[in-house]
Amino acid sequence: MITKSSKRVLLIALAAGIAILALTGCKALAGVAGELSALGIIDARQVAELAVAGADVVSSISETFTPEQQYYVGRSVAASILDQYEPYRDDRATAYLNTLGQALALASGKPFLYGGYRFMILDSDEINAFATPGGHIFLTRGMISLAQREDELAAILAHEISHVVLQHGMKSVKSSRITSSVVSALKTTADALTENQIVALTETFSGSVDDVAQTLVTSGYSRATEREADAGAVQIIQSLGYDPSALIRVLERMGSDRASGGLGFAKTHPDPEMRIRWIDDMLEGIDLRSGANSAVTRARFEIALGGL
Amino acid sequence: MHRTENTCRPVLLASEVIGREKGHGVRNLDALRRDEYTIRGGHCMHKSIALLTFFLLLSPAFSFEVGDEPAVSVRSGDLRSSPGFLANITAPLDYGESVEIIEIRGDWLRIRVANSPDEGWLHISVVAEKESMRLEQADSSSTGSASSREIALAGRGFNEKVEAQYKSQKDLDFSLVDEMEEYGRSIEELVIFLADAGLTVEAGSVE
Repeated sequence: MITKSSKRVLLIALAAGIAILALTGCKALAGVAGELSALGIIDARQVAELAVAGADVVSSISETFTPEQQYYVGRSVAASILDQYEPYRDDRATAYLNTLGQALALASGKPFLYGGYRFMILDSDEINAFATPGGHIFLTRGMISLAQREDELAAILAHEISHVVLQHGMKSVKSSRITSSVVSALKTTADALTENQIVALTETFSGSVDDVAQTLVTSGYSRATEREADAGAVQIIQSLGYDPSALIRVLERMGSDRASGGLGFAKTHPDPEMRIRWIDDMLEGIDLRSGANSAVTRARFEIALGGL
Repeated sequence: MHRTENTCRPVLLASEVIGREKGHGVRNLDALRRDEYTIRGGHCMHKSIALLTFFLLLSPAFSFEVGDEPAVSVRSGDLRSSPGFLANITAPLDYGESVEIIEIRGDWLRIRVANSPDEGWLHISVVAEKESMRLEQADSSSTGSASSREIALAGRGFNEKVEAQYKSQKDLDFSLVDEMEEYGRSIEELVIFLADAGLTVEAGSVE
């Protein structure tokens, strides 16, 4: 239950957090958590969560590559995914997916990305989805078929968008890829690069693409990373007015798929039941009413994806 | 404390669909201007408590102050007449262009483009700290925005070169990636898509 005085406390907490952020910059998010805790504003669990957030923001890899270079890594990861999967050719479904996905991105922390957010359907029954650091997002037919309504598809897309916004892909690049010669090469203007620097950069680029592709397709992210993406998804869809519990409905269906020996997503993602539990926690106290006109969303969802 | 409003502010108001001339052909945009958009602020703090940690996760990666001079971090950005996704576009912005922040409202920055008469609004995610874009050298040695743009463009050529080498090494086909990148939608289309279903995107400009 939220009382007026607790609202006031929250406001003060936010103000303090923002003031500290302004003073220290985002590199000290974990420090902010400590400050808020010391002031008695947030509890230990929240400190832990903020520490996780801080670790991500500080990620040296994502700070080593420019937005443009992250986009280029993303393009190559996308090419390697499209080397393993065929696109599903359906203009109406693809257009709908892009409109919905790009609209969702407007409500994310990063509506504008170097090359924007783009969505493609992969022709596979497997349940899977991938998001590259460049904003290329892929959903298999199998994944899309888990969604029975627009808000459920929105929840899946918002989870992938959150991976992009939070730079999870770049975070999976091994720190050993960044050698001192690469760091110096990255600081050199293009026409002043030596041959050795170009070789070093190309090796790092290639290794980085491999690391991201390997993580997306084979090894998967950590539980904490997936939990962040779920939190981001909940935030995006609820801020637009979709029912934020839509993600739970999708996960419930995913759970039964997993029981029948699911591939892909089941292999690279935490147990859906675990995710449902932490999303339940996130939804505590949130108004679950949907602001969406269900006649409109049902009609356009059916028209676009009915043939899938 | 403008960042507080990031998660908790009134959503897009009819009056926030700014700068479009009356009689514009798209009926839905006209509808957006009317009072269909109500302020959904009632549950705002409630949500904020539950989402306190989450909004920090999805907040833009940089925090700026008035006077800061970040650079454009998207391939092609838009300068707008007012803070809002649907505001009129007044000038294009190129990757690497230096801008000076003169006002901050929510997630929107009023900026002046370096060595240019252009002034207007952009979303905070359109720019990044120069350091993250390897543009600091350009600043110390340059006499103006032309040279910082030159550096950014030079970098672009280099990245394409690296991609070409990678492509030939791995025998990868990028044509589908190129095709995918053509799937971009206009922001107007996106806002109309949301509005058709009674959904709203925060304009970010309401204080």
